Amino acid sequence: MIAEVLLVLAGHSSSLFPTDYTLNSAIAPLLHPGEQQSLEALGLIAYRYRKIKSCCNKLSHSPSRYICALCATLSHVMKDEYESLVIQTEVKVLKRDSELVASGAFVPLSAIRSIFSEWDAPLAALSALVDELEADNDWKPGPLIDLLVTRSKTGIHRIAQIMSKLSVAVQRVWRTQLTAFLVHGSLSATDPLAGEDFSIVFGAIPSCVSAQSRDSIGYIGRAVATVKAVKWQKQPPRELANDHTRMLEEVLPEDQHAFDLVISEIRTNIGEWLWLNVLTKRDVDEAVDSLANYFLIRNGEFSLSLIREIERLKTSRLTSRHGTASMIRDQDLNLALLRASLGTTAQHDPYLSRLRFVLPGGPVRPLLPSLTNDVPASTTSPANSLAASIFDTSLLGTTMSLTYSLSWPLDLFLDKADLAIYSSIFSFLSALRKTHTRIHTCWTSLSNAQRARRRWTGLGEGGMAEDLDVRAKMLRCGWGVVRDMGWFLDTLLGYVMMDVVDVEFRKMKDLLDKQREVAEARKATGPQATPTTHLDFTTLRTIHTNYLARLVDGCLLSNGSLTTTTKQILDICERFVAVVERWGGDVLPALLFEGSIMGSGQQEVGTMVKERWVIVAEIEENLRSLMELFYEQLTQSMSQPFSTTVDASKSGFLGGVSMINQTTHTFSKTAKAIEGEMDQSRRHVERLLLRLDFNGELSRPRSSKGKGGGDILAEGGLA
Amino acid sequence: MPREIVSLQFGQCGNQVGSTFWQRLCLEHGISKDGILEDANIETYDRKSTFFYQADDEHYIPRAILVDLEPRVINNILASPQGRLYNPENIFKWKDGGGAGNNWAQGYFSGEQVYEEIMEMIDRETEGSDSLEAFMLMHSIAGGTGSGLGSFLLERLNDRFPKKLLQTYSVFPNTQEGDVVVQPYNAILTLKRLVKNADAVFVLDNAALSRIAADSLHVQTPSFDQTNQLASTVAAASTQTIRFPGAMFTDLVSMVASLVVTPRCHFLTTSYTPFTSDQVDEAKVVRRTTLLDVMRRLLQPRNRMISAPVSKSSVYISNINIIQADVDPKEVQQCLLRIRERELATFIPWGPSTIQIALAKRSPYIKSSHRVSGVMVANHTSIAPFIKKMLDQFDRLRKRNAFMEQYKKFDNIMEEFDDARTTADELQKEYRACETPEYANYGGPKNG
Repeated sequence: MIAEVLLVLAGHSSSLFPTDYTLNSAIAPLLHPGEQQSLEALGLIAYRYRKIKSCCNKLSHSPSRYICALCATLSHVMKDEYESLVIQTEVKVLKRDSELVASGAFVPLSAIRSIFSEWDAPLAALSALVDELEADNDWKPGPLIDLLVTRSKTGIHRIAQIMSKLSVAVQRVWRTQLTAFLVHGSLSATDPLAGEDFSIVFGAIPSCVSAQSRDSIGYIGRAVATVKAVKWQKQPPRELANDHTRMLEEVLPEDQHAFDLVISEIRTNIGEWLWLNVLTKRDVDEAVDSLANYFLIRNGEFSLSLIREIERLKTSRLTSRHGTASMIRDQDLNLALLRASLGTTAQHDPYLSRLRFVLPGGPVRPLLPSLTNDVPASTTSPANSLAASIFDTSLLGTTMSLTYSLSWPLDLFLDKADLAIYSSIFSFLSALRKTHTRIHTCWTSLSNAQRARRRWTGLGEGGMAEDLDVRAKMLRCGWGVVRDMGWFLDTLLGYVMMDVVDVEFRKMKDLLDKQREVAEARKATGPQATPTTHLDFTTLRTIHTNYLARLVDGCLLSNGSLTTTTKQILDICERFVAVVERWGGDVLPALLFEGSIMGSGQQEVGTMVKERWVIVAEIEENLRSLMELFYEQLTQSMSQPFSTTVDASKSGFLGGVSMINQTTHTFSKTAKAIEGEMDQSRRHVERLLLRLDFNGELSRPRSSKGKGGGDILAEGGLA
Repeated sequence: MPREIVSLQFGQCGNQVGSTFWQRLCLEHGISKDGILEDANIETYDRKSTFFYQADDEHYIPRAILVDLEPRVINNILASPQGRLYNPENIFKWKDGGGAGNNWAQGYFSGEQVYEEIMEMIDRETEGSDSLEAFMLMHSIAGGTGSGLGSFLLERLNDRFPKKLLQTYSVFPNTQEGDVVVQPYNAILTLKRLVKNADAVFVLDNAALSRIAADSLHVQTPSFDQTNQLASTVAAASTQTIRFPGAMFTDLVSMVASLVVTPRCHFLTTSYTPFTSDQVDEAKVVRRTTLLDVMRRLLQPRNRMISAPVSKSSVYISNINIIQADVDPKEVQQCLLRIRERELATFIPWGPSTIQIALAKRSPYIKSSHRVSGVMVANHTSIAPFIKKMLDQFDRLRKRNAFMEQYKKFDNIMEEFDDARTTADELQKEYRACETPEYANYGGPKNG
């Protein structure tokens, strides 16, 4: 009987317990109820043991290495502790150990029961564990470790001990994976910690690892893996790898503080190494420079040339006869980029080859400048999209965006979202610049027409006695329109290029320089020196992201209503230029044309002058009211920067920013940054206000210009 | 695409100013006296192609044409160390060699005889450039060649290149102490051509030049060389943003278009500060320059390169300050604020206007002794009294019919005199009109 019981306990089947742990009904009546209970208790232990054992066997074929490790450890524990207990007991029985074998003859069932009672709780807990393990067949290391760590925090010493053994085993396996990833940048084929793009897989990291460490792991892994993958000639030194391996060997994720410390140290080391060897200050500087030169058109010479080249392309396509040849494709625009660079400082710039134009809508047929007077659809409604997108079509007539190829190692600190912002700033600036150029062309044609006319008229504008005065006034008015347009664009561009782009660019450069100084100081003093600033790409990215945010604000792109007004002003400029072009490059009709002299009968002198003046006067009026509206909106944005539209678009934008910044950017930090940005952009707007209203003409009430009250009301309706 | 500018220099003054202008440009672009790039290793973002082209042997050659009716000045230039810089094919010395004898009519009417030859040079230069933007004339309007032949060629250029900008740097005579008695005649006759044919005229008043030279050099009578250096400094500085392009004002039209904003007023005043020995020989030493200091000096009437009585009513129609310095744009803001507070500049009362500021890059080849320097190019109504003064002199001479016989040799010259006088008078009236708020009351089309 005892032999039978011991065999059962060792995991063999027996007729004593035919199904689970209820006694065979044949034998039950023969036993004393006390014996029955003891036997059933032992049966329960045996049953649980068997269950655990069989589960272990089954789970050890699981594809997850973590589950396998768990099973192996579990089997090991069972073997070491439980099975050896069974054998010891057997030995004692056979040796007739006096402690167990009463008077050398019989073994009380209760004694055996008491020996195995210590396994009651552990086996119960373990069996619950395997139940849970079996319930889910796809265990990620994160939740698994979490589960084990939680279970090991029980008050029952034996359970805690076994569970922590299991959890340590699993954590070790995970740590090996982590070491492979962090030190060598390699990921296993099954159950990798990170995906293809080196973003951490959901569930791969236990929750006992802090969010900051989690980010750092992603960052280090990405950096190291990419360095390895591109077979860069400079690889992280072996000592660094050894150090890191050793450091990781010493900690387990469950000791949160020690683990965080190790991870952050590795991160600092890697960041520093990258900064000094891979993505050096020079790379960053040059990238930032080239982005500023081309996207923020700091290279004015080149951008002007590019705008002319694109205009030329459009004209050449419009004049070509064949259907296919009249389309503009991506490659035509990219060729224009190259052609534009000829003879400019951009010609030999290697960074130029990173620029590409993209036409999301495919090839297009160019359109003639529009003469319509339509107000562009207001863009205030979708607060989250950058209001800048309305400028995307200005350069070509259809949506076109400029992109920049992000090659390693630049993608360590720039990503697509950054480029999208750059691209929309480019759209805005090039739209301004293009219209500015068009106004200059218009001015040139006016001035040239005047030179031609003056050969006959002297200083005057000529004409018959009837329209002499009208011609003079209308010419003045036409020039006045060009003046206002040119002045507005001069001022706006001057503000954007100098007060926004230049100031922000300098500021960012200064910050970057400071970063480098820190890095170099640390290199000189050696790694023992306590780090004063946390130097890595997070800081870099934060600097850059803030820089972009301030640029967008400074360019007024985060304010929907101002953007719309600017666009309207640009449109009215384009319209005027187109009208003058159609009139043959002058506001006045040529002297001997129809309408300026007495026609064949009914036509009055000066009909054409009058006709044109209606148009010019209307444009003049609209332009003035738009400029005043712009000034008014700008003033408003100063006094109520938290008004709903501004706020909504701004928060929408900053939402985008925080999305870009996937690194350790805590919320409070962002919030603080927002406040700072607000202040910054307000200061920018102040500068524009000063420039616009330097001689107080825009802020002066219009009635002082000798216009009636009724007029103003009408204008109000117009605006 | 470089937007080339071809420069033409006429007469004694034009050639002298031109010669110092090219000296200055060569210095700033690191080009040696015979046209070789001195140090190819200096990293620079300049644009030489606007003003120079490269010969087959890599020498830089100015896009300049030198014209004079007498050989003396040009011979001096050719004999100077810089003589080999110019393209010898671009030099015109009249073989008949008599000069124009300080007579506008003489210069103007010799134009017919020399036209072909000069136009051939101009054609060659323009065909050699990819996208010619402008012609730049340098001349004085007081003498014979610069004023007379200059006028003639200006008219012809207008005919022949109707789509190119015509810009002049015109040295106006000293109305107080002219060295040529007939200069009021010459000046007014030339002024008419400048009004009719040019897109923009940089007015360089000889009287103001000598006054400024005397001020900054502490000499009673500055030499022609010194005043020429002033003139050429201004000319060079006003093209700074074209030659060292930054973000704004990278071509000539962008500057001229924002300066010349009314149909009739295209006469520009300039001022420059500080003049130091970098620009002028034996100048005073300037110890310290700040942006505000420079901008304030630029606005001061006594630094303007025209000498006209200061009047309360005169205003800026437009104004560009080209600042050559590595200044923080934030400083610019403060200066603008200060200038507005102290009302240092008054603008037209009929439309929004402001001081446009261009921060120009500096030449890496010159070590400047001071931190900030600047040039102001402005359209200012003080041109009106200035022209009025010239007209008064003209009238005084005309009333006495003095020295008319030299001009009477030519047909219709009397009509020409009257016409030129009317044009000049209308010009100064137009400038006066710009000072009034009514200027922009165009009236509606219905009232017309």
